[in-house]
Amino acid sequence: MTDGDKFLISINDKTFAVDADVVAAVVEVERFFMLPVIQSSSSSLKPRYIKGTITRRGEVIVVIDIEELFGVSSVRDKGPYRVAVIKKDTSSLGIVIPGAVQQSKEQQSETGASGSGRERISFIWKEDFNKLEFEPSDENYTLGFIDTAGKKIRLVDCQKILEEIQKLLSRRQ
Amino acid sequence: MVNRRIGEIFFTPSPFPLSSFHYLSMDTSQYKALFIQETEEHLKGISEELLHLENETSNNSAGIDNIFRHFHSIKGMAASMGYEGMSSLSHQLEDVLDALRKKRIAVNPEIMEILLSGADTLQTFIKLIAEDKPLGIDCRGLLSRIKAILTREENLAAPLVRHPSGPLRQENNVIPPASSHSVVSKLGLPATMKVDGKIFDNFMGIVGELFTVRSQLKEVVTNSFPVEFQEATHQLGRIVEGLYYAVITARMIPFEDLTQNLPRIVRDMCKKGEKEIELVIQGGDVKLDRAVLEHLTDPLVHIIRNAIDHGIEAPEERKRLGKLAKGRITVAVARQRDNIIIEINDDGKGIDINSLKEKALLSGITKDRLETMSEKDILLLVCMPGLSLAKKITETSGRGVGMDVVKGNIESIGGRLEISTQLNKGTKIILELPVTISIVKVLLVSIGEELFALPISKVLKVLDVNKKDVNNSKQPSCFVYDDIKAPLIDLRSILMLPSLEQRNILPTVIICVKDKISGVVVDDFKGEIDAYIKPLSQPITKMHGIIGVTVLGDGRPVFLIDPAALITAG
Repeated sequence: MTDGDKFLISINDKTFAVDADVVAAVVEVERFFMLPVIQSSSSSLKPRYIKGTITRRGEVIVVIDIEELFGVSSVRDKGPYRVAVIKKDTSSLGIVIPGAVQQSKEQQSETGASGSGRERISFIWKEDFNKLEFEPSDENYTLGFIDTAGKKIRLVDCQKILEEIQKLLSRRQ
Repeated sequence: MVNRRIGEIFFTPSPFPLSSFHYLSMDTSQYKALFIQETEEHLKGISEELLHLENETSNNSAGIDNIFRHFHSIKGMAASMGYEGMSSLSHQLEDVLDALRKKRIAVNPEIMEILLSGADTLQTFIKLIAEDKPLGIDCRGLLSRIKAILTREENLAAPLVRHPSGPLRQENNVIPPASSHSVVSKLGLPATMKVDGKIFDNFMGIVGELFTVRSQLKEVVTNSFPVEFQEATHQLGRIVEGLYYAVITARMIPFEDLTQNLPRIVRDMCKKGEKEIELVIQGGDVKLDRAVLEHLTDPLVHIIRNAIDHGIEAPEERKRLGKLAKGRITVAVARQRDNIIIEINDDGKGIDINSLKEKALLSGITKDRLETMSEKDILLLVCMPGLSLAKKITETSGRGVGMDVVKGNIESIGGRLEISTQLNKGTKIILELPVTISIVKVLLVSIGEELFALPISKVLKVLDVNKKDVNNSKQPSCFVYDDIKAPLIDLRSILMLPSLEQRNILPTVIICVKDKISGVVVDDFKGEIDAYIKPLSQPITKMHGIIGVTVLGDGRPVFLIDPAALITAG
């Protein structure tokens, strides 16, 4: 974890944070492509939180539903979807931002404003983060919780998620 | 070339054949361009250091050391290439530097002149070698001057004065600073260029994408565009193809470039393990894509180390078994169509299958599973992480890591590994690899909305199989192809997707892997393209049965499936 800016993704009543310096882009896609898992004598099912893949600049990126990783799914069956692309060293990961595109369209019709759907994305700037209370945590895929006026924001451990995916999808025979 | 510092010793690994490994009689012409390039770099270094030294206001032992190493490298390379005159002159110049290092003599204009003349003479050698001319250079004058310098005790008396703020000045007996016959009188560029491999990788990436787009364009224009447009597309295709072959040719390097340090590794391990081993490399001139060779560096070393540590017996033991005291490891490389076959044979003790089975049971493999496995599959269990047959752990092997890396590396580029063994006779490891992993001719097939690719090299035919011709009485289902009963593998089921029950016609790809014919049922065939296959990136680098991926012009990823994995899964 760095003490720099934090990128926030709000899903329903929960907010997740990741280090902003690992967020390479937020992209909009029509659909996810399949991540093929070939059956083998010891292969297990692909975890449900893996929603598929997207491509960006010729690279294939695995997309996950972060809320499902921590419990319940909120990702709709049909796109378009907005995905935050995380780049960490040579690894990439997409985190789907549920409902974001749909919300944007609804808002446009309600208000007539050209909302971009980015309402579910926000930031905590470095200066503010340093003033907030941060409580480290041993919970799965969690670096800790940021306390913002009573609301706890889970700071996600992207490295752990990447390692777990690598472990689950690695070749076995 | 990368210089490496090990403790206080600084050395440059030589890319040239090691004279101590019986290579002297081999044809060295293939190394000539590289030799010239490397020597020119060393001479450039010498020239720069000498100029520094001449202008130094204090003794520069680091500079002298550097010049010494440059001459030393030239000496070694020239000896390997058989240029004795060059090697001998470098040796003499090295002696001068050594005397300077040991302060038996001191830097003075006369010595500077000798060193510069020496470098110039070596440059002349290089020029003649490049022009394929006889090396008739008379070095006697220079050599006698060197001899005189080295035997003259009075040099120690430092006949030069270092002015506090200036370069070396001569007090008496002025010698011209540069000889009139200096060869460094004009500027020039080397005929060969050293290019960072990454530049070629990027170049290959761009050409690869161009190739994929060309394939798609070709498909589109075939049916719906005027002839002129089709012709232009065809022309464009030929240019792209030419570009691709130019890049791929530049990236192809001989297998021996990878194995140049292998004799040294074997020698050092033999010394440490008190073993005697003869290493034989056959087919070193077979060329492979650099990207393929990169995946072979670790596997090859692991296999050879295993053979030395746990395969080849100690000389006394070998004699007791009626073998020659000296063991033998053979690395044989051959090209078979679009594949490279690397066979690594040792005449050691072989693998004890029973002992391997015991270890496998301890590692969690069930007895039932072991009983259904063929001997070849059981032998592949040595690639299971943590499973080692070694009775003792050495510095380099025996911890059960290594063979899993070997298998992983080979499979990650669509290669295959096979092990066979005979107790007390030896072990053979076969690595089958594609010549290039960049652009692969593939058959596109669809499953629902998704596209997948199968390497054309493993596809025999595509056909529609009638459902009533399929025998479902046993698993796997089978059908008769060319009078052979072949298993039928449903790609949907392999990908753990619901099957399409209602259809009566099954689009089937007939594949042949390891001489075994199988049918793969898909939703539909989508044609053939030349695809630029990239390795998977993290965190999906090691997915079972997936060789790589190509991204189509519209952004769709197409995963290249390893047919061997389909057969295993089916």
